Amino acid sequence: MQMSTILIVDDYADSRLFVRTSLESEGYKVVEVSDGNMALSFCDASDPDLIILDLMLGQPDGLEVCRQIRQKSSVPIIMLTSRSTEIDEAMSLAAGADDFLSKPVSGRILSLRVASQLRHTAYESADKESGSKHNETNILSWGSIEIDVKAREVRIDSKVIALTITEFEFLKVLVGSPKQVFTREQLAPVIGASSSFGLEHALDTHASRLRLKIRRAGGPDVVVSVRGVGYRLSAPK
Amino acid sequence: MEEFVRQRRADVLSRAIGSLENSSPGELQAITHRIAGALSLYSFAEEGNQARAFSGWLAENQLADDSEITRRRDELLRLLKDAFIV
Repeated sequence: MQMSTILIVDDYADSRLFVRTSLESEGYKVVEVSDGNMALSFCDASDPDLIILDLMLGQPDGLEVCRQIRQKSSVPIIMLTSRSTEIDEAMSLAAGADDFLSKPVSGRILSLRVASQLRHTAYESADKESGSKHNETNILSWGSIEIDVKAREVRIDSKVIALTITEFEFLKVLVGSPKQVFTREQLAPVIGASSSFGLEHALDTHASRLRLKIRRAGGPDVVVSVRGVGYRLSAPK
Repeated sequence: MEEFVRQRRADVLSRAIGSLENSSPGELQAITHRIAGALSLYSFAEEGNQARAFSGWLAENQLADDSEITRRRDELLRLLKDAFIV
């Protein structure tokens, strides 16, 4: 994990240098680019382990870059921006970002958020590896939805749907305990959130995207908000 | 990181001032947004907030007179230059 490659995308050199120094001091390998097209080219040519993406780039902007990367890859993406409104955060998560940080942020917190996202990826790789070695399956199902935990796949009527790591983990937790209402605090580590700041909004956005993706694939309305508490799986029909 | 920030912050502030002074009114919104983020990362909290506020104002007042834009830019520049003294 310590030699993971992190791609920094920011159009201001002093900001890139701060992020680079923070991450290199924790042992990460860092590559930096200053615009969205360079980021997309880099991702086409190689596979960074994580991307830290500025929201307010020129054209294409951070949201567009995030969307385009997300069409091809489930690499963790952390949005880092000077803008900190709820709408910015919601749009970032809706574009496929896994986390959202607003400046100022300390080097320590930035590194911890990166480590948190990379842990998710490491778990995923470990699951895949053990699945192939032992040829085991670990299937969770709910109605027409089937979650193959070992293969990290979600299928609806046998058709695989593409989810981000965060969406997959969110769904897996709910389907794993179909009668349980999960509080937001219980779900925070599932989506990689390390504080309650913006948590409700982040969860709402992930839940919305999950509902949308499942509905588009012909699946049922799966995630229900429980007012003032959190989320549960909807009752089977 | 504290030492890194301490060593670099004067240069970051200097570049921010240079960017502001050399920007046309049409470029200011993007420039102030960029420097706001950098200033806040390098422990210029108030200066970063004011730059962010100016950037937000520019976004909401795209038809503002150049004279008003210049007045606000000069106000921000004064704040940044005062930060050298503190």
